[in-house]
Amino acid sequence: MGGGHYDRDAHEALTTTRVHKPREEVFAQRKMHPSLNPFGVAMRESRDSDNHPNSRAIILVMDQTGSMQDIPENLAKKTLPKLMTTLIDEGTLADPQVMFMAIGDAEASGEREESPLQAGQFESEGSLMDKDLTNIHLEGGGGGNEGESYDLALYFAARHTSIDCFEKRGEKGYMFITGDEPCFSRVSAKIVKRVIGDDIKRDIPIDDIIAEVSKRYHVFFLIPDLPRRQYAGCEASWRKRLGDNVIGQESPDDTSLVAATLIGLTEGTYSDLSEVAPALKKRGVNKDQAARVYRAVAQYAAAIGRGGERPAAEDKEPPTGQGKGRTRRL
Amino acid sequence: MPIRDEPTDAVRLPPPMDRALALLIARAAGLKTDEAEALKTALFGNGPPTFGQVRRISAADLASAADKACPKTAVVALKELAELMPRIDPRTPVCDRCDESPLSNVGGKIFALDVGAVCPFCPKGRLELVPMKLRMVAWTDGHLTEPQTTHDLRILPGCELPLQDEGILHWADGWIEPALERALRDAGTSVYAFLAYMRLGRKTLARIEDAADMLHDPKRLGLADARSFAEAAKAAKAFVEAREVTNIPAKPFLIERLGGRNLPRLTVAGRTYLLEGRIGRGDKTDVFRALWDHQPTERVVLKISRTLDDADLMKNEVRVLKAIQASEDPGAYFFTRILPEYVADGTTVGSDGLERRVTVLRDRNLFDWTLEDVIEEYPEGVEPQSMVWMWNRVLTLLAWTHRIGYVHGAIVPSHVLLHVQNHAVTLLDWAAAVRYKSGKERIAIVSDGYEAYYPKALLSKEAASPEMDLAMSARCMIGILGGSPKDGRLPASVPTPIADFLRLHGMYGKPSEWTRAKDALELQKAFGKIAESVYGPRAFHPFLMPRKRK
Repeated sequence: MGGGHYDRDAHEALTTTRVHKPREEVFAQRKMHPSLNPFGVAMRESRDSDNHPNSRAIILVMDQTGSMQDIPENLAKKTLPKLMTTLIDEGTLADPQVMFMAIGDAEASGEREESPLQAGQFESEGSLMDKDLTNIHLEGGGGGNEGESYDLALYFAARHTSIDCFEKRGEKGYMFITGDEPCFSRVSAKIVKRVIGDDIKRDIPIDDIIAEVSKRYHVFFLIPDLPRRQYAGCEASWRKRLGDNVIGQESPDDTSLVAATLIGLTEGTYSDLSEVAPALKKRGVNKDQAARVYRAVAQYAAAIGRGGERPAAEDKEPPTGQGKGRTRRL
Repeated sequence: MPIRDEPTDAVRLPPPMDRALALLIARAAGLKTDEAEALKTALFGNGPPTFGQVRRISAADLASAADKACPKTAVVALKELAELMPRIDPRTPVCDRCDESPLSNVGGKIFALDVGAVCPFCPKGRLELVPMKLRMVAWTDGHLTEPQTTHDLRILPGCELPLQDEGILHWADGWIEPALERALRDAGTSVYAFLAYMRLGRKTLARIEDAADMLHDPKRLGLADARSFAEAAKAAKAFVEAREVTNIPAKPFLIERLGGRNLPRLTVAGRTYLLEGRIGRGDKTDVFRALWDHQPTERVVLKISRTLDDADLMKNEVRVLKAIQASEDPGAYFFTRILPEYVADGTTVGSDGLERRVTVLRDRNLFDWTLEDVIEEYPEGVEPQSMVWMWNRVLTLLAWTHRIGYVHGAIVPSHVLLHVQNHAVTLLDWAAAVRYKSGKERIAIVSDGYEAYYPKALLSKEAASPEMDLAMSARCMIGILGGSPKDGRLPASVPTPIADFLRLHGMYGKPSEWTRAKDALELQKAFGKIAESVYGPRAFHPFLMPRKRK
C-alpha cells in the first residue's frame, strides 16, 4: 500500500462538497466495512515507492463512540486535507502516509459492539485516505464503564504494522489517538483473540504495549477540548503513561493543525514554540485558532527541548541536613 | 482458527533462564536436580529450549516425558508444572543470585513476583529481567527480524546473505581487519551492527555484495585508523540499540538528546526523575526543574523539603492542589490548566540518609519569573501599565479560588509567578491555604521576611477571609511599583487614582478605615474603571524580564 499521488485540489474538492451533508450520510456504514476489519490481518504496511521514496507512517485513531464523533466528522468534512497540505507545504514530511483506525468499547457490558477496532491501510493519496475514513462505522456506543478500547489500537500498531520509515531509516512514525476517556490498564488476551484473532495467551499491561509502540512511533493522545480533560480522570490517566504527549486541545476543530504542528515541532520544522503561531498565520489560520494550537502544543514543545529559552537552572544538588525554613508559625 | 505464534516463540532461553527452568521443574515436581535435568532433556532434548517450546508444553507432554525420565513423579505435581510452564516468557524475572524464577502454583492459583522484588529462595537475591534480544536489525535493509533468523533471502534474489555474526564471519572467509575486530569487541558490539550502521546510518556501504571486502579493508568505508574504528563501533552499538526490541523497557532517547544522560536521578512515588537544576528556594523547599525518566517524558518541578519539620504544611499543599484539580466547578477546565497541577508526592532519602518529602508538580513552560524577581530587577518599580495586567490576572485567579472555597493565605511576591510573553500569572505555594466558608479556619503560617505583605487581621489570627488575599495582592502590586507594602507609600510617578485605589484595598489602618470589595471580581471591575480613566481603553503593554540592558 501507499502508492498514488497526493493531489490536494482533488482532496479538498472531495471534502468541501459534503460540508453540509449530515453525519449519517458522510459515514454511511451501518456495520464494519470489510476493508477495515482487523481480524486475521497480518501486517498493514507503509512502504517506500518510486513516487514516495521517503514515506512516513502516520496513524490517526478515531474514537467512534458517541461523545467523540465530531472529530472524524470534522476531518471528513473539512480538515483532513489541511493536515496533509500543512505537512507537505511546510516541508515537514515529503511523503506522509496516513492510516485510519477507529476504536469503540470492546469491554462495554450489555451492548456488544460490532466494531471495537477498525483499521484501514496506509495511504498516500487523498481519495484513498478519504475512503478509509468515511468507511468507518460510527457506532456511537461506549460510555458507562470509564474506558474505551484504545489499547486495541496500540496493540495493532505494535504488532500489525510494518513501516519503512523506521525499518529502513530509523525515523519513527506518528500515532495520534483522539479520545476523551481513560485507557484500560491491560490489553485483554480474550478481546484480542475475538477482534484480531491473535492468540496472545495472556493480557499485556498497557505500559508494555505503549513501550512497544513507542519504539517505532511517536505516540500522542489528543483530547478534543478542555472540559473533556477532566472527564472521568481522562487526562490524568493518560499523563501517567504518555506524560507531556497528552495534548489538551481547546476545540475539536483544531485536531488536524495540532497534529501537523506536533509533527513539525518533533521534526524540527519549527525550531521552537515561538515559530508556531507566525507559521500558522502565514498559512491563513486565523489568530484565535493559531493561539489555541500554540497553547495546545506548548508543553510538548518544552518536553522535547523546543519550548523557548528559559532562565538557566542552578547546578545545585538536593538539600541535605536540617536546612533553614522561611516559615513562621503563628 | 490456527493458533498464532508469539514473536518470541523462536527465541532460545538464555542460560540463566534455562537454569531457572530446571530449578522450576525440580521445585514444582518435587524432583532432585538430576531427575529434573533428565525430565527437561526428555522434554526438549539437550541445550536450552525456545520460549515457544516451553509455552506449548501440555500436561500430556509432561506425563509422557516423565514416564521415560522419572516415572515416580506425582501426577498432581506434573499437572501443576504444566500450568506453570506457559507462564515463562522473556519478561519473567529471575533471581540474580540463585537463578530461581519465583513462579509457583498453589492449587491451580498461580503466583508470580515482579522485577525488583526480593527473592524468596535465597537471602540476598533480587529478581531481575535477563536481558535478551527479541527482534534484531537485519543489516541488509534495516528490517527488524526474529533474532534467530540467519539469512536474508529476499534482498538479492538467489543470494543468501548472512545476518548473524557467525555467518558473516564465515562469509568473509573467517577474518576481518584485526584493528576493526578489536574496536568492535571493545565497544561490546557485533559485526552485523557495524554493517547495519555503515549501510543504513552512514550510507557508505551501498553495494551489499561488497560487505565482506569492506570488512577486510575498512578504508573503503571511509574508516582510516583505529580511532575512527572505535568511533564507528560505538555509533554502531547505539544505532542498533535504538532500533532493536529487547525485553527491557524502552530507553528514553529523547531525554538523552536533551542532555539527560548525566543528570542526577531521584525517585519519588515509583517514578524516576532527572534533575536539571535548582530554579528556586521556597519557604520550605528547594525547587528543581526535572524530567520524568521515561519516553515520552513529562516536565515537572520537584519541591524537595529543605527543613525536616514542615511535613504537615507540604501535605496541606498537596491536599489543596488535589482538591483544585478535582474541582467540578464549571470554570475548572480553564483554571486547572493555570494553577499548579499536582503529579505525585512522596519521600526520598538523600545523600545524608535523611528522609525528605517531595511534591511533584507539572512544569508550566515559560512561567519563569516571580514578583520577587521583578522587584529585584526593577527596584524603582515597574510601569503601572504592567502592574495593571498583573493584578488583573491575579484577581481572576483569586476570584475562582474563592469561589471553590479556598483562601490562599500567602499572596506574597515570591508566590506570584509570571509568564512574561503571554501576560499570564499563576499562584504558587498553597501550604497556607484553608477552606474559609465555615468562618472558623485561620491562616497558621507566615512567610518570613514578607510580614509587610500580610494584613494585621491575618497576623492576629482572625478567621481567614477572601479579603485577606485581596489585600495581600494589593500590597504585592504596591511592592512591584517600588512602594512600601508596609504602609502603602508609593513613588510619586504612580498616578494618584491608582495609588489611592491600591492603598484603599490594602487593609491598612484600622478596620473602620478599610474599603471592602464584595469579592475579587467586583474589585477587578472597579479597578478596571480606574485604570481606564488613567490610561484609556486596555491595550497590550510589553514587559520584559530581564529588563533590556543598555
